[in-house]
Amino acid sequence: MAAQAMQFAAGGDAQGGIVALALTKAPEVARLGTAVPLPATMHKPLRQRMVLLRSAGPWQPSSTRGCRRSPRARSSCATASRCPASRSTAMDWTALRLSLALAAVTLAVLLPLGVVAGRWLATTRSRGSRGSRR
Amino acid sequence: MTALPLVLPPTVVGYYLLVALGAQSPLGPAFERLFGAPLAFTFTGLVVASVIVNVPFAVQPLQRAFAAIPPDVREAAQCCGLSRWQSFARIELPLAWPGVLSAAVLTFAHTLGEFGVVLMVGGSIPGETKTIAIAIYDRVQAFDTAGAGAMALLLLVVSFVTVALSYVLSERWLKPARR
Repeated sequence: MAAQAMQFAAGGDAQGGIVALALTKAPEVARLGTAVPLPATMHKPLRQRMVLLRSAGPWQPSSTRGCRRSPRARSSCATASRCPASRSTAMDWTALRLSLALAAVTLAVLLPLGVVAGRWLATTRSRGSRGSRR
Repeated sequence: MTALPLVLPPTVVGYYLLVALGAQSPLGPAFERLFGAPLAFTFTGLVVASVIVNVPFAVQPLQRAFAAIPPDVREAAQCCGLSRWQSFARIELPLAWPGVLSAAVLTFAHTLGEFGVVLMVGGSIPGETKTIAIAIYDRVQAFDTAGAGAMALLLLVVSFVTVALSYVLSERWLKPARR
């Protein structure tokens, strides 16, 4: 949501907008315009929460450490380009590999099922197909 | 029934799948007890969702292909002493091959581009459920238009190659089949 508001405000569709301070600190955003922090007295304190699950995997400090603890930590992190969200690499190969794997596995599961189901639908009478007259 | 996922909004399908696969339904915990991993927000869950969503894209071309085979052919195969399985494997499947191909291409391309269902069922966990379509959206949100542009272009090229390949392959297989 925050990023949507930021897109709207920075994209030129609006003359300004109230967005998360941390976002304005990101290098990609900072050069788009000027940002003025709202005084803390003008809004309710922002509270962040997190949930830890018993079944969660091992903690991965390298990816998330310091990025979500507080707006200040996040903004300093964003300016230092250490946050995963603000790190810019041209191509997300992991995502591409994941998509190709998903497509391949889906195909491997669905195609045999589809052949059986398709033949069954084509050869049973109820569908009014030109199937068997058996 | 097989056409339903075609007309339902992806977020609706995704929502019902998330409810069906989640921890509150009987299916989610049962799967977790069997295989030791949950379904919602995992790659396995994505595969399940993707298979269900792609049913119309796979079944309909195949159904049309099998329906287009004249019943006489099937009967002739049986008259020649072929068992049902032999007739299926050696007569029907080769005749329905263009249908198999288009089902495969449609399913593959549709899975690559699926967004709503993947986001609902898988979330956007890097390395687990964050597919390229979601990565593109994330990049645009992060003002990384260069990255988004690069990935969108790559997806365009992959789609183009897939379609071109399917045309070439179906031409090659269709010609002897038509004669």
